[in-house]
Amino acid sequence: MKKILIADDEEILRMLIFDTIEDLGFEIHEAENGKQAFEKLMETDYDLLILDYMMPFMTGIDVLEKLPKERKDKIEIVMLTAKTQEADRERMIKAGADFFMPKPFSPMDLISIIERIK
Amino acid sequence: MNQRPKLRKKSLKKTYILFGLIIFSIVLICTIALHLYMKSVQTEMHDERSTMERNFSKIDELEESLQEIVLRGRGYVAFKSETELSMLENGLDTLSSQITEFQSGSLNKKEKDLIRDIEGFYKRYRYNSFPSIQKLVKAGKYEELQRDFQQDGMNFANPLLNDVKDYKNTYQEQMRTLSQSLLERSIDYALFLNVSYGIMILLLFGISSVLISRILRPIEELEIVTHSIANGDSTKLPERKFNDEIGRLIGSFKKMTYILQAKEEDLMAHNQELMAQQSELEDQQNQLSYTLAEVETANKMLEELNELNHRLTHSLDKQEVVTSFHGFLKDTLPLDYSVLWMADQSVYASQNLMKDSVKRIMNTVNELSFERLQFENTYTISREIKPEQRGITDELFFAHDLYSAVLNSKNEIIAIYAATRIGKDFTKEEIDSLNGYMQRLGLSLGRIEIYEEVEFARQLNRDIVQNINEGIQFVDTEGTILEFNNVLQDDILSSDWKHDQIINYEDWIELFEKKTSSECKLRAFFEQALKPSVTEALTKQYQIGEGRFINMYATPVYRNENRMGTIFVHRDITKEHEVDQMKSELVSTVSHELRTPLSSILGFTELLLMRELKEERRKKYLQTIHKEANRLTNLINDFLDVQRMESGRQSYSMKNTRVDKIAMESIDHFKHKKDYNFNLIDEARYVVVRGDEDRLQQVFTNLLGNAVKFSPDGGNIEVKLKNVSSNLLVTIKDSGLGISSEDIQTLFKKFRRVDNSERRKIGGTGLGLSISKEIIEYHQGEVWIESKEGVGTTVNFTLPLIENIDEPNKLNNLTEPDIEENVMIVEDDASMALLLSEELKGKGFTVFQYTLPEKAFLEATHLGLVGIVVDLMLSEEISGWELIRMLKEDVRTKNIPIVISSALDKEKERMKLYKVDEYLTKPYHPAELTKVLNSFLASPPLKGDVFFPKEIK
Repeated sequence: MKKILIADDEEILRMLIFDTIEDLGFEIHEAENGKQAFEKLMETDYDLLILDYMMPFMTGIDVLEKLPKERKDKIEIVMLTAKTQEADRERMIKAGADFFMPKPFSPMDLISIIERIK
Repeated sequence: MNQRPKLRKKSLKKTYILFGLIIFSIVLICTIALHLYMKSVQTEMHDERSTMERNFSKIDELEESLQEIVLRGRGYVAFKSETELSMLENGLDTLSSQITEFQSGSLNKKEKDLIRDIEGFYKRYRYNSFPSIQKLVKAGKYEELQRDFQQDGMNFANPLLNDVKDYKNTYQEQMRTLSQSLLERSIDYALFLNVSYGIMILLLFGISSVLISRILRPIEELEIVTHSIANGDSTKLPERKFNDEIGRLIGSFKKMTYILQAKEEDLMAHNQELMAQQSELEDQQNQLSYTLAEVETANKMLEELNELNHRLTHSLDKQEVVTSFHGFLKDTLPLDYSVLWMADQSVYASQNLMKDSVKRIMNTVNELSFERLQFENTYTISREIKPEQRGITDELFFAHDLYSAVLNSKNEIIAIYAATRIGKDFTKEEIDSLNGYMQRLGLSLGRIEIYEEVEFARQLNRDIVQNINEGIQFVDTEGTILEFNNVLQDDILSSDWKHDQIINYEDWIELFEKKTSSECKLRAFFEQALKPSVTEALTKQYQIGEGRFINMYATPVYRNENRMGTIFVHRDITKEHEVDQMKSELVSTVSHELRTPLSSILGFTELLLMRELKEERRKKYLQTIHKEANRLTNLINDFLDVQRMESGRQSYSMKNTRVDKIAMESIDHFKHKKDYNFNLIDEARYVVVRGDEDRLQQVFTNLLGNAVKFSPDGGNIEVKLKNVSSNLLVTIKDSGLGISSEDIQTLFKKFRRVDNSERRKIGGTGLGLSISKEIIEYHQGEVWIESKEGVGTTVNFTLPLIENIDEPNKLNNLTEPDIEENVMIVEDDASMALLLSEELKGKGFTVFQYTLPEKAFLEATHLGLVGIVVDLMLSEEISGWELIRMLKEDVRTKNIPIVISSALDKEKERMKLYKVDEYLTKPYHPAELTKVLNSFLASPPLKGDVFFPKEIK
């Protein structure tokens, strides 16, 4: 079973994502902040990471920049972000993000991205 | 080219070399001759000597042989021996050969005589005596023999021997004489040599002196002649017969003298010519001097006029012009009284007149003669002097007045000249020249007027430029600053530069580059703006110093289609820039903060719409949507609050408010948070402030919310109320992450947290602190933050207390301050704690409120309490009973009376065990607590071992 990590500091958003993708047949893990997300990413081999940009202690970018490249390459990374400026996107791509979901996002869009990855 | 004499018959050098050679040869020859002569003498003497020596030795031998013969003859006679006879015969033979040998050498007369005698003896002896002796011996006739021999031998031999002896003596004598003569000859020779050298030297000296005198004399003569020629005497030069060096020198000298004399004659002729010319020139000079004197007179007149012109043109000051012009007229025309004034009477100059007279004249003329002057320009009046004014003479006297006006280009009178002369009327020439002068004055004054107008306009322009808030510089087409104002100078340009200074392009652009960062690329902008091809206005924004933003625009300036230069205007837009920055931050924050709840609302709505869901889940989603929508509303309210506060439109409903109540209620809202211990320590006796309860609650909620956010791992959050002078000090302390000191500075700025700040990672709008600050400051309080990274943050704020309370009974009863005793309440139910604290504070107690038993215990050890009110149902690990046990076991607190305030039933056993004094069962009226505490005060605790000393506070 493929593994997904949802990293978002907003409990409600985690719940939303969880509920959206729970029937897709993944083993779903959650992280409440950047630090926790990083630790989990280092422990477990995930197939997909849904990562919020703005999180306490470590932002999504911080997590990606700190994560070793070989680990990053194995994971499909979907960035959730309220930042829609071109410069921010470039920074995220540089850090290793594969997809963007601008907030507010549509759960159905998220599903279609995940389906594509699958 | 100098032609050298071809003939060089004689040369002194050669002469002297030759002379030297001759002398040397003579000396050499003489020496050699003398030497040879001496040598021959010596040889001769040597030969003579050797001959003498040979003869001497021969004679010696002869003598010997003679003696032998005599001896052997006697022997034979005596012994008649044959041996003797043969020896005698041998002797005779030897003698014979010796005689022959002797005769072969060169012999002198004496020797010849001697040898002839010897030869005679020999012959006689051999041929006469010897045979007779032989016969006698053989015959034995000895007596005869004796006699004969005696005769012969004695007769012949002895005188011969004597002769030989004589000869020998003579010879020795001769030898001595010879040596003597050799010595004498040597002495003679030395003497001769000395004498001859002496003669030689004398000869040499003589010849030398002759030769030297031959050279020196002509030179001396030449010297004398040179002197006399130099002195100007013409002297005949000495003749020289020989064509040697001196001869040639004299020849050259002669030639030179001739040339000099010729030149001198030339010069003399020239000099005479010059003398003639000079006298001619002197004549001309005299003529010129006359002309010059005439010109000077004319010149002086011109100079005066020039001086006038100078005075009129070189000054732009009216007073100066009027004074100097008046002075000029005074010097030019002989006058008794005069005055010159400007038509507006602002300036005047006068001669021999009192100030009052001048005023009077000016007024009179201005009133009465103005029209006539405008019409006539110059007129004179002659009037008779009254007899009483004439003084000592009776003659008729006239005074002549002259009035003249100065007109400007518009034919208006701008100045008036009035003069009086006594006795002598003004001539036409005088009036004409005066009119001319007046015209000049008119021009000059007109010029001054124009200048003043221009200067006024210029000053006005400058004042406008200088007093504008923007920096302004006007730059010509070359880039040189022609004009700049103080604002620009203060910001950029050097303070040493003067406003009328011309500043080169490189100088000022360097300052711009120095004051701004290179990223601004101001040089490129200036260069672009100064290009003649650029005709439209350009703008540029740059930054100077610490965050000052300047907007600059450049506009080309034209006059009659000619580019005059460019004007640069620098406007400080720091404020606008900050507002812009804030606005974009606000938009960014709002956008971000709104997107999160919007995500939830839209997401869940979508799930609701797209999926078939169970009722339970649908409800949960709807609740979430509702909650998030509320959150969105709150956010929007926050933004609106900030907006309102910023624009000053926030309305407050101010009334007397208890802060402890607000604190307790606010804490109550956070009670549900796990991992956090909220502790209220209320040490304030006075807690009533004038304020808006809702807003103050907002402050507490914001600050407590921050404390929670900054303590991600949970922990204690302590709220403390305290009276500090006339203020209520509230401190909210957490033991969370803390804030670095540089971040503290910017904490209260709105949206500071956005993006790069650490705090950004915490979440939230970042508006809470700034809203709180606004509210506190509206209440005339102050707020500040102390924080240490990793230790925690303390937010402090003060609110001014109400000092004069009109209706004390409605609020705290502050009229009974006589009790002033400390009471501790350990209670975690906010409303109960508030109720009790309100009651006790109203009765004059100072209440210390704690929710945490450990904290309460620690504080109780030193506060000096009259009683402790303990709730048994504390939410902490330590229960009420545990706290009581700790208090009673500690020597510092065991004597403090304890009142239990609990909803639980009385536990008499435990009360007895811990010596608890009172037990109030909830619900009870707060006044009962007061009663109990008062009873403690009235009767000091008996159950304790030690009376609690009241003094310790």
